[in-house]
Amino acid sequence: MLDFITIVSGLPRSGTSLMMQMLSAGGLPALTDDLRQADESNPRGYFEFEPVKRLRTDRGWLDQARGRAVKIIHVLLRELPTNGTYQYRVILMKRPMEEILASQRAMLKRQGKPSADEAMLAKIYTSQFAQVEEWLGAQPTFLFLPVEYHDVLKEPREVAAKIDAFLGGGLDVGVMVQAVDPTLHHQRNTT
Amino acid sequence: MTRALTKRVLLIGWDAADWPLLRPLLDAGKMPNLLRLIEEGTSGQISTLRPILSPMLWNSIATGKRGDKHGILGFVEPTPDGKGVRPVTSHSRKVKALWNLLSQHDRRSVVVNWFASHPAEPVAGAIVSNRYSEAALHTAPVDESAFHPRDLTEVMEKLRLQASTLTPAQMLPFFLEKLPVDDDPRLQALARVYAQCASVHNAATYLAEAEEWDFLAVYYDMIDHVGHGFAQFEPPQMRHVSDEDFKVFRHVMESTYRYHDLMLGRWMELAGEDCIIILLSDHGFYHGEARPLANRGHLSGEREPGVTQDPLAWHRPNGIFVAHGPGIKKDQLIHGASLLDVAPTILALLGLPVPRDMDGSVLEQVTQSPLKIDYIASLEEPHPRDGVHRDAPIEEKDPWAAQQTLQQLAELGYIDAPDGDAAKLVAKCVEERESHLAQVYFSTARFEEALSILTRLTAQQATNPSYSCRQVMCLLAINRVDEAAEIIAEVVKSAPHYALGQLLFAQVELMKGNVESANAILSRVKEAEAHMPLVHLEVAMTSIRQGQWEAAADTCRRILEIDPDSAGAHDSLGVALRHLGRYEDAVYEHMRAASLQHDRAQTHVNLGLSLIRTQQINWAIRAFGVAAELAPNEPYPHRCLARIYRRILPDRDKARHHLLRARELRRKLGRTVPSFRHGV
Repeated sequence: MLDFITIVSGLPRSGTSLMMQMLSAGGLPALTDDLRQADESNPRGYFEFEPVKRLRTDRGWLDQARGRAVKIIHVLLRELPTNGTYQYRVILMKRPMEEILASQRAMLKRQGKPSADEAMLAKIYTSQFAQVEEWLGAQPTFLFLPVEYHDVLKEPREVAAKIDAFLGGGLDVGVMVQAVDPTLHHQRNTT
Repeated sequence: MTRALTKRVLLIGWDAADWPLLRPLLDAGKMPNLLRLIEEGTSGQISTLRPILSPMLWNSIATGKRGDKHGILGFVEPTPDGKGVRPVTSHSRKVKALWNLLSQHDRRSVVVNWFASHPAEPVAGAIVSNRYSEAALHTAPVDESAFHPRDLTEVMEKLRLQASTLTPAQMLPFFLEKLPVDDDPRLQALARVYAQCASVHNAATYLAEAEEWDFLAVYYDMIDHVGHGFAQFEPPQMRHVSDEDFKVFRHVMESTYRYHDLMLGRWMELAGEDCIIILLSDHGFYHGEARPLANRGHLSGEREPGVTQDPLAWHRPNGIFVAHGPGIKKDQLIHGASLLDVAPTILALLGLPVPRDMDGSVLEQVTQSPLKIDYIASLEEPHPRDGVHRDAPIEEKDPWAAQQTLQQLAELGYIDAPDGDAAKLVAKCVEERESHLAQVYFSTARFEEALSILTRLTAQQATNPSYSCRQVMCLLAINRVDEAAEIIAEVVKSAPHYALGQLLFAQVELMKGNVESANAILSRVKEAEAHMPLVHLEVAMTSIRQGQWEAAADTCRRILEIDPDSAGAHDSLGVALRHLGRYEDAVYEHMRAASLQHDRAQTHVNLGLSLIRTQQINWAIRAFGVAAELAPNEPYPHRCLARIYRRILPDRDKARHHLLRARELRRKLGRTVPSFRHGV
């Protein structure tokens, strides 16, 4: 069993669920409770673990995450303990901002909720993301690999191989590639 | 090029200092330094802005702009991580303050304890932020971001006075006759406020001598804090105050003012002859018979003893203003000053360009000879030496946007929506910010914008009648009486004891022509709230709307007995007197109202109408012009100007210009009756 926690992170709707599917298919078990059911926004499921949302107040579940992959949104990464108790490898998903915002807007619309001002969101997300990258780079307990969402779709084999190497090898790259389904790419850059 | 009247300006802020309390102290020779400043300078009332909330007001003073522009809309803001709230910071101020403008013109400033000045901005000069005064309450080291330059930290540590080191005997000068027992929480509260004030004074006077400066601004909040804690104990003795408490605490308010006079004396020594001193407060404070009682505004049968716990209810709308120094008129009264005028005036006195995007005007009436002012469209473009924080993360600069982003993440289900006390605090501060912004819009006659916010707040806070009432006020201002009637009917049903709701109900009834019903409501309210000037004012307005001029005048006089500085009462009295044919008296009352609350456009319209009657046509034109500036969406001042240019001073071009403007505005507003036609 791996002694580090694999984290898939990024802005919401940047392809984190897709990455979780790839890892799971490739043989890295996902820490998930399946409480959040698949829906139109994520037809293959969210691969989420409910206690992650309470990371600010509850870190008791982190032991369960050793040797597994867990999805943690970008703003919560800095809530993880950095005292050396845990080692982390973070796959940081990147996607063009306009696609992320369009996807969030569509998801909220399906729930009957409005999206906040998108120009404002873009500014804040960009800033938060830059700070997270800077912070990750400065943490001795974290290693991170930025992954472009569109690279996953266009060159899944190359990306899967890179991820396998980043996580120390042993994943089934071929099955990881099969997990990528380009038809799920709803919000293209043309929106 | 603007010609400087002085090389240096010293701006001293006394939060909540009030003329009605100061006058007897001045007459008794208990404030000798202030008396000298007044006798050798120009002084008067300065009208506040709405809402009467200190962080907003002191930032309007420093920027010359209202809260919608400067962005400080309350005491607190959310932390960028959404975990709670924090005091408003200098990051949140969206426009430049005087010290930024001076810095980009290579002038040096010293700023101590100004609201929302933390973290200290790197301007030319020195800043001790408002976080420093909190250090008087604990022993932990002060965060060095409270200082610019950072190397001030060491000396400022030595200058802070810690409340815990004060002995009861050291507090005796505030009590004079008898000290409270050592563990009386009121004694401890006073010691804390005093330690904070003394720390600020130590820091500011130290920097006044140690630094080169062209502009020094220092803010003291002790008078306001002491007022909220101890004004209820000052004479005359209130019914709920025990004889013992009255004896012990009766002098605290007066002693606080006298302590400020001592500090002023020190400032007059430090400033020297070549410096203009401007002393002002952001608002007044109700004293004596005008002190607000508990349950004010509620028409329930039984009234709790004591005074209201709502701090804003204590704030009187007029503050004090005194200017003194080279080129300033001596022993003169000033009329019509507004907090917004302070920043442009200081720039003009220092010979710096005055931006036209400031909401205030230069107070040219304070100088012995006319100022030559160099106006510029704006100075808000970034400047390499303005000292504005630009490298901070966007979430620091706009914590409100950060909060909305976190809310979106919660809506998307990626983080848990915060809960518990912190979440309640964040929600409350977001709500208050919206509410304050609506008040800014309402006070500047932007009724539609105010209405849009209030409609949202009403939907979220259905049980709060205050939002619904303010919605009704907006609707009435834009003559949407039927919608107002529908909302107010709900309010009086759900909150029958809410006085403002009843007053607005009466107003709606009157506008619908139901005079008897309106009068019946008003007399019920009047009976229950005899000491509430607002009630009498509404009665006076009702009389005016019914053409009962003598009755209206009598009611206004009764209000002025309770609150001699009620701008609304003076203005309404002027309207009544004009209709009674006493035009000169009417002009006097409107002038008085305008000097007390200069930013009320209606008063200038009323003044213009009375001035026409006294044949002072050029002054009338000026009054309507001021009204048009203050309420740029209102057609009525332009209609008045069009009539003057058509019928009295024939000028076809000007008449046509104002007529077209009035029609255009009326079309935009989409209503048939301009709100100002009621004349009150």
